[in-house]
Amino acid sequence: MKYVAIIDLQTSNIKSVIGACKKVKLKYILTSNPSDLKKAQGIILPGVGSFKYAMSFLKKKKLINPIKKFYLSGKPIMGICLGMQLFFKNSPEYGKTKGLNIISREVKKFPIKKCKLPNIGWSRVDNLNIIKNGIFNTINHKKHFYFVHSYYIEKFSSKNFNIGYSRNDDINFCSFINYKNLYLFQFHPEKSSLEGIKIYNNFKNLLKNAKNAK
Amino acid sequence: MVKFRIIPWIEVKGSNLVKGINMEGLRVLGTPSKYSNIYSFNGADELIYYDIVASLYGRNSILDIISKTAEKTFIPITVCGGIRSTNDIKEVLKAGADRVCINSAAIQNPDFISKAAEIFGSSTICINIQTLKNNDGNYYCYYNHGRELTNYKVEDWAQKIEKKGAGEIILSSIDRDGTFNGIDYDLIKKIKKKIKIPLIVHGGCKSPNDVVGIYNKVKFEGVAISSLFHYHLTKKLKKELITDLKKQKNFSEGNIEYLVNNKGVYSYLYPNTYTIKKFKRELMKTKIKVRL
Repeated sequence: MKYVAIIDLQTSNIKSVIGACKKVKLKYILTSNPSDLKKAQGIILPGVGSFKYAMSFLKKKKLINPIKKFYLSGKPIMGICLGMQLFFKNSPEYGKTKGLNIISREVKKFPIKKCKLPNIGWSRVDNLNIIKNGIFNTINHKKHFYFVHSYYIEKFSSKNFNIGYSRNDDINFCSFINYKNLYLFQFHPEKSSLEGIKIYNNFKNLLKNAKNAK
Repeated sequence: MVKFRIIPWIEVKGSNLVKGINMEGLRVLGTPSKYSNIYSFNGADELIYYDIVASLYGRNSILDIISKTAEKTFIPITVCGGIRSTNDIKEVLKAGADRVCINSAAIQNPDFISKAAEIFGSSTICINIQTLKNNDGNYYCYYNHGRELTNYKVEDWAQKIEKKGAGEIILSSIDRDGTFNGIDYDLIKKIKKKIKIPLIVHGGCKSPNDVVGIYNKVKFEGVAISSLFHYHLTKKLKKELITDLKKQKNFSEGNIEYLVNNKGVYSYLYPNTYTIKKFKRELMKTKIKVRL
């Protein structure tokens, strides 16, 4: 059976991720079992919860190496919110904690003096019009997406990355990062109304194309 | 930058959507799903479900409502009412909520906030403050659906919960609730000076202009509204709403007299009700930026 593996961190808003998959007819399994990843076409790593809790959960379930291996296989991975941040080097959330470190940048906490903390609500994403990897196909670039977070990846640019940016007062942060087969969202596509659902549909198409490429 | 949020506040009792005045005298207005389906495709930025009797009767019906909404609507859902343990939070999130909003359990044990924030992240933990103005001019906090008084002044309590790790405050004015008497400026001013976390204001909103007038004096992040939006639908869909209610398997409790006969003060025939879209369009004409 072809499926995408939704990793169940047990603090996540799994229902809406599942709802979005159902809506676009993307076959999924909900799992925290490493052996389920081997046969998956893609992974969705959702995230509500703290960085520290999530990393210790992945460790306990022996998921860290299987996720890294999956990344190396080149199959698409979608990370959402905390699920985006986990791919980075470390985060200061409840004590400095090491992440999956596939992208060697640090997660930071919004500085209360410069911006809102947490950042909650609907915001636009800049740069979407020049991202040509397919994940934002048919999406109106002026639409808003739903954010709810206290930690962020500082704005950077690099030719190996496709990046979308948003702002929280004086802070510019990465609201979308595509690096190789990683598709990482600081906002919640499954909570961003119909435009967000289009992202799930585009992800489904990426899975198909990745399969065809093999 | 995030936009100013317009959030329908949906009070649920059993399987009914209800609305009272000053948090009392609840009237049944229909089924929650009828209202939430319309709101979510009409521009709502989020839905707040407030489960009035959760602490008394258990939470099965609200879990069912959330789970049905979450599979269909794809906008954020916050659940308020009867959240007493980290296990409760887990259950509500699992059903499809994105955030929880806590009052009574936080009043009884403020450390519960820090514990919950550590597991679920601050931005998942929201605090509902229920308050009304006392004769001495101060606002004190209430809990158990506005029934029990505490010694906390709102501004002190707001500061305390921010320190404990709360991610947002939803400020409910008991004396304005359901009255169309306007948002309480003095109350917002008192709290906004003391906190940095986002503030959503709830209770008494009578028009988009009401929001603009206050926003020009003190900034806040959004407004939670029930009567002004609910009664718009009540007027339009009265017959449908009554049929829906009667179709429910175990329809029983509650006062539907009001819906049927429109008897009582603050009639649902109040002339200046709004759809969310129309409300947002009015705000767009001003300095307040909203998502359309």
